[in-house]
Amino acid sequence: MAHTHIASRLFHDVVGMFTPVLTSSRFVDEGVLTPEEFVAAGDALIRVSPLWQWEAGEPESRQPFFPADKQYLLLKGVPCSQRVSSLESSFRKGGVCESTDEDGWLRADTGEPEAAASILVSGGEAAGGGLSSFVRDDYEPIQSLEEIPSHTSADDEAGAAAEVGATAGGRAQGDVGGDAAAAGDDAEDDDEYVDLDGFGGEEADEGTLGAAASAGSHGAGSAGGTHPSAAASRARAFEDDEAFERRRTYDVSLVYDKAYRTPRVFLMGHGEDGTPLLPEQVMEDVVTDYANKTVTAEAHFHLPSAPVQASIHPCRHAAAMTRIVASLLEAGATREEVAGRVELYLLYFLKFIQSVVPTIEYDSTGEVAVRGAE
Amino acid sequence: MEPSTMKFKPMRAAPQASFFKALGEAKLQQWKLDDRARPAWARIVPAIRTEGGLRLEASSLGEHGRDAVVAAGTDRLSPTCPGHVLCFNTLEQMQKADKAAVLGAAAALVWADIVSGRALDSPGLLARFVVACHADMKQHKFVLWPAFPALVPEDGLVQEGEALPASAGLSAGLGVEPAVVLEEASEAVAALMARSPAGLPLAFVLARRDGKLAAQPLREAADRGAASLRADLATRGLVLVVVDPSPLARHAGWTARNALVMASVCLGLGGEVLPVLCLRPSPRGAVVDPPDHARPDEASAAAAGESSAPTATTALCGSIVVRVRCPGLEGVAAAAVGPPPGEALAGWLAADAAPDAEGTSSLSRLPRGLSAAGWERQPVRAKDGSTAMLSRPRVVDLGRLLDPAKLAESAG
Repeated sequence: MAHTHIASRLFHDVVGMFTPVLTSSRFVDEGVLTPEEFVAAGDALIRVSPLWQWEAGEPESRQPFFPADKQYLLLKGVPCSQRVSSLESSFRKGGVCESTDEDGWLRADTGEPEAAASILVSGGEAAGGGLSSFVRDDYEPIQSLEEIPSHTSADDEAGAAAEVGATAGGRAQGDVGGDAAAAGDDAEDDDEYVDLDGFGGEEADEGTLGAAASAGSHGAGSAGGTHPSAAASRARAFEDDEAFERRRTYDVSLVYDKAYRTPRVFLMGHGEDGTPLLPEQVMEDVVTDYANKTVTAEAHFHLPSAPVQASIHPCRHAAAMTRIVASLLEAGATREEVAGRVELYLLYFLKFIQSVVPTIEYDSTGEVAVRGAE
Repeated sequence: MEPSTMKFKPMRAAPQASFFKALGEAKLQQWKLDDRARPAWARIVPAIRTEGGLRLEASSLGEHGRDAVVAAGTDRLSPTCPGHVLCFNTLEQMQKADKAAVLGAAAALVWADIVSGRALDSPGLLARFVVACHADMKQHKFVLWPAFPALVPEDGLVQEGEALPASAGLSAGLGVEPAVVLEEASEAVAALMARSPAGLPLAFVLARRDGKLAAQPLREAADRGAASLRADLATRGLVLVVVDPSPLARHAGWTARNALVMASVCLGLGGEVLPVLCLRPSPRGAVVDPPDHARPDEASAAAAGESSAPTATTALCGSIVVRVRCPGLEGVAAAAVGPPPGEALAGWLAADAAPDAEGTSSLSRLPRGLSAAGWERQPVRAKDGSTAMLSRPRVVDLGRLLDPAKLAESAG
């Protein structure tokens, strides 16, 4: 497997080396981008969703056909609330209410994998449904986080303590199938590596949320260790500090792939405790049909010395975009009108990439305009 | 609600995989067996749709000086702050190090920055950090324990009333529509960000000027004098704003602690009840029409003109306001103890970390009346199934991400 992968990457690099840089637009005919169009599309994306930013990457990996400070796009700290497996199991149980909106786009919060897959295969149909004529940003107020019920404890109150244990392990909160036990194992692994209780440093501080509970339960603190009811204070600490949903986060990169002449997605994940996710853990956030096939662990094009990231292979990207173009043309737009929309390439692109990673909530752009399609 | 000791959501670090890799390489190739504290910097990421924290990246290993750099994207909402990395050669050394002394020394640096007024010009100094760690480069395992020194006044910080959503908190007692005040505050923050290439400062104030809220950097506010600030406070025309990593609706984050001490000492607001806006920005994207297809050339030209100035305003609808009585620290300020100047700073933490011959090291650098708290806490499950937040390090196993042999095995 490893040899296949290495050969595939080598082949890609060689193809990229000998593929000439595209100089004239082929967006309408082939669904691909020139480097200039990629930069323009990136600027348009940032105007719509200002959390995206251009990055320079490592100097030795710079592509000469891009400005030095605009090598690739990065969105940091994207929340990811649940695992794809939990979506899939909900779907199997018939628990998902709607997978797509009225225009046919997959919703990140309710998506179903089969529908997601079908959008990637027939993305053009999804784009033809008369989307409204503007792009908008739509964030939820952050204070609602505290009220978000945990999706695993919602149907099993007795499991609440075990779920917190999963958080303690810092690995797999929300995973389907024995995740709390697995996280407990992780914590035990850590304890086997080093005695984490032997570091000292416990401090009594009334101003720390949950501190009185910790000092009370383990007697490590001095002033805080005399709480009248350690159990009650622990419960309060949990209520105050852990009742919000701690989520995985992702750094999402959009890189120009010279061999395929399309954008390519790289994903670097971090667990609920903020530490980096391993490749197989990232695959938990990829629709099963794509994990380890369309999505593989690769060195980032512009960060070759950094740890590997998950990458969505771009072999179908141009075809999906061509279908979107075709649907625009069928809806009555002229070739010139469609060509003028190349700036919106990345907005369309992010919509259909969502079908591969439906739970990574990177898309804050709402609906993408297809003016003229009405 | 009766006044009560204010409780702050503890800070959490979010070290990136690239940070661990850079840390391991620096230890192997540059620092080697020299385990003195090294300067570092990081970003305080506010709660944006999820919990924020201290983001450590590969570039974090180096001197703090990125304030002048033009920030973009999420970085515009994430102020930088200085710190130290204390990389121990062995786990035993890390276990035996005097944690209270390390924290106290770092807190003393914060105190010195407040007393000297440096924190007014660089508010990021209020969020100083220390990362104690050990890197096992054979197994690619890291033991990491960040500390976020918070100055703790003897009497604690007293909260008056419940935390309120930003709209209610900012408009309380003003007789103005909450939505209007919220929009005013949002515009004031956006205007301050537009003036600053680095984006949001960690702390600043909102003051009512000519009937409208305006954002003022801390230095500008301090130059107005305590009497003017107190007069504004009396008419509910002054709010301290702090970038807040806490996502909780009822509790402010860790960054507010040192900011309140700063407000007492530098702004002369000791004893006053100060509204604090815990800023959790909801990025507000520009509503952009797609290019006008009838005139594609003009549309693309207009887009090219705008591309150098992406809109990055913020909405404050997720933020909260807490009312806190500023600690009276006049006596403590007089007894300020400054840290040694210049290059000695980097070595100072390490010197304090090693216990002396009698096995003790002192916290004497912090003046009487102040103590420090801030070692990162982890949720730990007890045998009875309950969970407690304990000060303890975390073990990060990156063998699968960093070990070349394991990478080759798992490739594909």
